[in-house]
Amino acid sequence: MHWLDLIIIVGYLLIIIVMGLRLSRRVHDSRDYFLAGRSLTWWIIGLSIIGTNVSAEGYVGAAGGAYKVGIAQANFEWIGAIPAMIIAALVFIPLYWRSGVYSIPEYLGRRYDQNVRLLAALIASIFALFAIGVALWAIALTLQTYLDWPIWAGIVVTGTVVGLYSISGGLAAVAFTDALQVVIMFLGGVAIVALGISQAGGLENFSTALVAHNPTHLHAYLPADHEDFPWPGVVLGLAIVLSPAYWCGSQAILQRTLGARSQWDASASMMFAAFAKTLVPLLIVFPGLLALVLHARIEYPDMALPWVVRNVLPPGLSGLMFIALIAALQSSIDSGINSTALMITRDIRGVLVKNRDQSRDLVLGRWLTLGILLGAMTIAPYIGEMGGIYFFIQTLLSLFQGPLLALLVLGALTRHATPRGGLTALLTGVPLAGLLLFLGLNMLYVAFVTFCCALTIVWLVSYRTPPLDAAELEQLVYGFGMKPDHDTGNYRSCLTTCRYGRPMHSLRFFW
Amino acid sequence: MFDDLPVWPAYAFSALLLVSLAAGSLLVPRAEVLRGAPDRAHWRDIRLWAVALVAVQLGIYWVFS
Repeated sequence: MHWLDLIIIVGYLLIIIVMGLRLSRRVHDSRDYFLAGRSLTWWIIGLSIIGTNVSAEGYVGAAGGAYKVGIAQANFEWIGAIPAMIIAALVFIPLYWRSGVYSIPEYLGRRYDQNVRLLAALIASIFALFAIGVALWAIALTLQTYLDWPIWAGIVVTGTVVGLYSISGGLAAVAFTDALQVVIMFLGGVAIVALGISQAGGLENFSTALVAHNPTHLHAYLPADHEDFPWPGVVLGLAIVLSPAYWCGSQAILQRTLGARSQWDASASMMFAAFAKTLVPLLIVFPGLLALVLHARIEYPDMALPWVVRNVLPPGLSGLMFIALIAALQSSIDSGINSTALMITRDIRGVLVKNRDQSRDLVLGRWLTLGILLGAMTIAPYIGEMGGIYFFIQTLLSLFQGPLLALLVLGALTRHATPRGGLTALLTGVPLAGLLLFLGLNMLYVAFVTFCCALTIVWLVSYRTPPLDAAELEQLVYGFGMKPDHDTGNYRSCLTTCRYGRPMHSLRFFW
Repeated sequence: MFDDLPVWPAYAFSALLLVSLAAGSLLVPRAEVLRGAPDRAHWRDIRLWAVALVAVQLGIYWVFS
């Protein structure tokens, strides 16, 4: 490795550790730790959302996917993200922020049933533990490839660096370091695009060379009988179910918006993230196409990005890109451990342990963050051998996506959904998803079918079962939220009055 | 089930979804989206951000159709 690359890498690691440790001085209680004391500003949260979203498989896998199928891979960043992010920003995030919850499972618990809260938190936590393990393993593998470090050394060093700022600084440290990491990712990505297009002889030559042997590589949608990305699956499964389930219901993503200093900052952060998300294909899809145009000699599509970093970027910039890769993985790890610690501390412990001492949440949260990190570091070296288990857990999580989205949509947008209706839909929708998967239906279609079924079940069962009190629904259903009293600063009901020019009932469009 | 479908409905659906979202965004009252904002400047109206995002997405899918 060139000395310039090494200086950049060491400098980056020092900056994020110092930044994290300085932010730890702001932490005095669990609200500071898990929600950054509700002090985060919109652009920091927006960048942090992108940092959390672009993960290990996102960075390396998307470049490999683009090498294989072309620009259609970018649907995960465009139609498979932007509409859901707009809806999240305008509808769900204001609702969550106003209701004062710490987590999405907590919202589901208040809107439906504590069993729903427990189930959602358990599934998300187990999955997160393995996802953190995968990210640690991916970093260790990257360090081994570039620096010849043993796998165990990569895991220990990464775990120590992430642990130093995440355990002490909580969400604030996670958000600020994520923001810095995303800026680095974009700098590296822009460098690849500029130098890559230059090497290919300009944009026109680039696109001509690309489609010469791969005629569909610049088509956003692939034929309906395509093996990996059939367009009906992309539209129905990804755009309508999986993407909204993720952007409107993922704790790791939404936790930082709950830590916003105002409702506007919370909503604006997601919109800002959506603008950044539009550009993410430049970072993670373009390298795959570039490898194809430059006739990279690689064995597997996933080797496209490492090939581009080694062969396109000069010293200094390759170090920057190396950091961008590590940063993408680190930001997924720190967000994962913080949100999992929150769900275990408040949602799982909150349901299982009655009359818990909330003053211990901060201490417990820090110990849990350490425990989760150590647990993930322990399983990380064996992730390669546990591919089957990880796939099983990923499948398990996917079984919940359709039914959980149905619960979120009807719970947030209507007063009709009842606690019993939600629980029934969850308990019937998940086995149905398992059955459809077992019968061999594509995962994207399974998500759509189970979403529709769960919607129907919640709606029908809710006719026969008692709803929540109107007072409880006020804080939990969009359009019936609380409005700030400008005299006292408190929130008050707007069920019957509306001081704004347009009545809140115009929001019925979303119901 | 859908194997014989042509590709053009995918682009039509995307355009319809995006335009509906832009229209839906504008139905949200301005006061609601500005709640908690430090001032009432036009650039803080995130409904306009949503419309701009939709316009960019429509352009992208038009280029790559």
